Amino acid sequence: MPSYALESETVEGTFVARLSGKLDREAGEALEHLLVGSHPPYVVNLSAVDYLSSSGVAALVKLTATKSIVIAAPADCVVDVLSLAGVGPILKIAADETTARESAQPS
Amino acid sequence: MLTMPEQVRALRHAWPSQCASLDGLTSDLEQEFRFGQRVTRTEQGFFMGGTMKGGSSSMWYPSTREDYRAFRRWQDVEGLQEGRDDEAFENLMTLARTHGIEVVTCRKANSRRSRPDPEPYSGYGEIYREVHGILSALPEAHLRRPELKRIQFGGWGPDAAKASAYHDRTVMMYDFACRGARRTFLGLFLHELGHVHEVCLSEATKDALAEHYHVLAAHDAFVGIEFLVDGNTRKLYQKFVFNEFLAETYMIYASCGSALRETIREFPAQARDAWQGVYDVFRESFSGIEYE
Repeated sequence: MPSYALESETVEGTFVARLSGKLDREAGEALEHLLVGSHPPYVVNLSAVDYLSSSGVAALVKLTATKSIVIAAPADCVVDVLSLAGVGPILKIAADETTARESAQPS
Repeated sequence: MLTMPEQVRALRHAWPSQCASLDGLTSDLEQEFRFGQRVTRTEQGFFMGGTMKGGSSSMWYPSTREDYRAFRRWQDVEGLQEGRDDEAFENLMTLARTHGIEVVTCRKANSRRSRPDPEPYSGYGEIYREVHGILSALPEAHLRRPELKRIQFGGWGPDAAKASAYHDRTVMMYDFACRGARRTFLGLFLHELGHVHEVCLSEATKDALAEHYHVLAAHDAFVGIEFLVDGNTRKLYQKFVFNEFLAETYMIYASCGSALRETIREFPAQARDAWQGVYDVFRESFSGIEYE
């Protein structure tokens, strides 16, 4: 049984993926697969993620570079891990999903 | 031509997996351990998580006795081993004192307020040995700098979980780095010294490097050395932040030496020329010293 759940919907033209549970290699690959089959702009809501592994960090960095994702509402423990990995400054992070959707829109 | 200590030179090679030789170690577990995750035994059972902010991380996941044993075996091979090495301690203190650098540790409860221990912790023997080896192989000019007044081992970052930092003329190797993998510690330490270096570069030198950097970014021609996170993530990290590229290049210049020169030769023409420009600037800033 997967240690994560992934759902998505398009909200006012923005593709929003919502992940919960553990963001590890398996979840990272599922997220990447989901985004490959959809259209930008992208928001990834991590508000219900309670564990971020190194593979999860790598997946978020890769999706930022290739898909320009905006991360919404990460929990403190997730922000800590991103900071620990030193990748915080290169990610686009918004405090909530609405702000993330606004930020994801092309200027 | 100078030579960095063996463990530092090992950064040029891919991080060898221990999965085949350590019972119970899977590639997923190994990746987590490399990232500083640990398996801890508690009264409630086994948990995997990070050692953030003095162990108060909320991010702990149930684990197993088998994973705990695999972690202990992995730690014996890859982790920094605590223990005294009085000779290494004296060597490092003497070298640091000679160049006006203070070495402190933050092991006690007051370290959360960034106050150093009254006396440096004696149990960081391996760290003292490795750090002395690195500093001994750097140009004297890199040690005798107003921008490097202190090296701190242990403690925690003021605002967020961090493995290491350079701030207020201090290289800080936090508890996370001191308790993790040897390779990660060495890479991070040289990376932070790279931040000392980049703030010392003149604006004209940085402008020249920035020109080459833009070419490298356009060609995705960065060099990724795996420690803490995988090589691809470290490449992307450099692509987004110029100062991180400079700090990372310092680490690569000093640790990879001949391997970096060989890698540069293998890049396509435009990236190769840009890299050669970067290399030449770094060689000059290392007082002409190159590394084996």
